[in-house]
Amino acid sequence: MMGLYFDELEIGRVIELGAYEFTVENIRAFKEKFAPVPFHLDDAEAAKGLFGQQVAVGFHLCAAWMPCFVGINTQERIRLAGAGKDLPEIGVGLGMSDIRWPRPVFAGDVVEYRTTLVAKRKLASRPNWGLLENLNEGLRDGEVVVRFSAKMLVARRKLSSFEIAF
Amino acid sequence: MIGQRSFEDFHVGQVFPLGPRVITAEEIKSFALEFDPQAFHLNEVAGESSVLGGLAASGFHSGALMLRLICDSFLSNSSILGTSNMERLTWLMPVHARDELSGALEVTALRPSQSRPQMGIMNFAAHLQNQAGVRKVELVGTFFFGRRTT
Repeated sequence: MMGLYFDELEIGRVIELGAYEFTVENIRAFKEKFAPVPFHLDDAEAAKGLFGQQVAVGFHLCAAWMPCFVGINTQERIRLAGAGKDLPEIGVGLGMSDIRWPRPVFAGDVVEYRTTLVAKRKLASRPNWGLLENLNEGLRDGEVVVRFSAKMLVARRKLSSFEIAF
Repeated sequence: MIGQRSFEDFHVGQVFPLGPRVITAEEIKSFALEFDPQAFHLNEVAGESSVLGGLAASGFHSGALMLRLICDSFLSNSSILGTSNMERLTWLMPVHARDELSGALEVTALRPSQSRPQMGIMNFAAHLQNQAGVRKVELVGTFFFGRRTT
């Protein structure tokens, strides 16, 4: 996580992840691949629907968090490696919960993502990994358009032989 | 071929089959390039040596694929209006290249919307497993459907 081991993570830290632009093209491509329903594909159906026009798929708003996260994560790993820090193995996500889409997103919208480190705990079942919970938000003009909690595995710092002995 | 399903056509306990659908290495890499460019989603060797134990789909990919299988099962031919939330998307096990995914969606609750009389709300629980019966992904959430006007 940002080049840090589980043991180095500061709960409460907020990390700005960068922005994703929703375009006519990427909205349409996501719909055709993953959400081919009438109100997403057809202008007339969209006009009659809850939003009055075409909107981005909710899962697209979640998925777009990821390239922002990977971009900053990679940048931080490179920066810390350059400073001589040893880097943890990259962990994986276990799932998302409390996924909310309070406002629709339209073509032309730019959504800025951020993550807040909420809690962490050691895992008895996986001594090399810890569990991190974070709260993730996407904002357009300062208003939240997507929000979800996520759980991910973060590698624990390997103990030196000195630390193991004592 | 049944006509378009409205809110009134669903009942609690109703089960819709999902899949089967084989996920390929090419589509895993293509999704990862666009949304999750990490080595274990892009490269077989990196996948093998990672905690995922082989080239594996991004969790956002397996979630999106679950949505697609729900569309193909019944959602595309329904009065679906959208949603505003999902309770959880859980990645129990990595989805590997060549996994044949199948599963089911069960309707767990149905209620008319208080604020929008023309709308009904469904709660559901869905899962996907592979050909060996290993459960990989679960989605628990909500859909909004249009109600019949006549």
